[in-house]
Amino acid sequence: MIKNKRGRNRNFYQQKKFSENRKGLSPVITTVLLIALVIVIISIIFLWFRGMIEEGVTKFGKNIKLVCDDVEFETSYSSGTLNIVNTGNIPIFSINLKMSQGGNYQTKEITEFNGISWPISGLNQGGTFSGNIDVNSGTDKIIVLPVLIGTSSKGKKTYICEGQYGKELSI
Amino acid sequence: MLLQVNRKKEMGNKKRKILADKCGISIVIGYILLISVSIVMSILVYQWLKTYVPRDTPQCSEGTSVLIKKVLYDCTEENEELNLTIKNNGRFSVHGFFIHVSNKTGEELAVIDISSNVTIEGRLSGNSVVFGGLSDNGLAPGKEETFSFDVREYGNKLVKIEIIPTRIQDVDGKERFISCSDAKVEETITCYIPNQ
Repeated sequence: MIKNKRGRNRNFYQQKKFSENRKGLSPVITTVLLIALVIVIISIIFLWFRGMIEEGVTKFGKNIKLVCDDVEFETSYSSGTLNIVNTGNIPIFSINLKMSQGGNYQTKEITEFNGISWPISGLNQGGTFSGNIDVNSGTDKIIVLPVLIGTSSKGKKTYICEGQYGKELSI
Repeated sequence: MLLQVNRKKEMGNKKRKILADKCGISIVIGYILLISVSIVMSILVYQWLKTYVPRDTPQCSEGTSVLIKKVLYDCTEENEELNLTIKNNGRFSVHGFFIHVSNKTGEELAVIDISSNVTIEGRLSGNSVVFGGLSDNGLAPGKEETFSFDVREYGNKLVKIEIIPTRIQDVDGKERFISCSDAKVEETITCYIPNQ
């Protein structure tokens, strides 16, 4: 048996080297585990957070909320007939009517009224609409709200512009 | 003795070097992960925030204006026509116009679109009447043009006419059709029978 000055044989060093090599595997596995764990956690947080935030709808490369500010239209109501003219450059896909009756509100889409022939593609530039709408007796005010159509990650989506972009009609 | 101490030191240094090398792999991966995650996150946030940046909306050039110079509402039974002479009294050329009429007295808005009733062929583009070509501003400042519309279906009842000029404008390098709602003109009309 060959022994060195300390009296340790070759097998001792070989064993030590082998055990050192085996210890060396652990940081690699830890790193892989860490990366995998981080990726899994990130994807779980992302999926959870995505459900929390509202989906972004865009039109002409702009958030649809900002596009509502550019909508220009004129409207009038007389003896049961509602008239609308799109005088601006933003197509109006549909119209929502918010009817006020002594402090109570009821909102209806224009196509919900009987006998209304609203254009399928909406009111384009210069487009006009005229139709009879049956409002409940006691209705004192109608707010005409434009509805736009934009694109989202899930395809085409409609968006009802907020109250400040509506036109108020007194009955 | 001194040699043994030196050897020990050497061994220690080698071990440390090996360990340090092993740690180095994880740091590099950590950096790569951090940088790539932050790049991906910033791209996502940028794309989302970009949609909230207000952009200039296509607006008709200020100074665009048209004038209804002459209206002839011919109510002869066999020839019920509306003749309009439109003059460009603005500073920019005009592409065409939207034309809406009303057949109810006292109605605020004119909502009957008669653009498709234009009697001159090739002058209709969508729901607007055009002065020249379909892609140019055909009516230069100071010029005028006359159009005739067949209005038989409305039976002598038209009372008001509204015109909104349109322009073809360059918006972000693209030619776009723009409605000039600020330059809207309206006129009350009354039917007349020639030679009466």
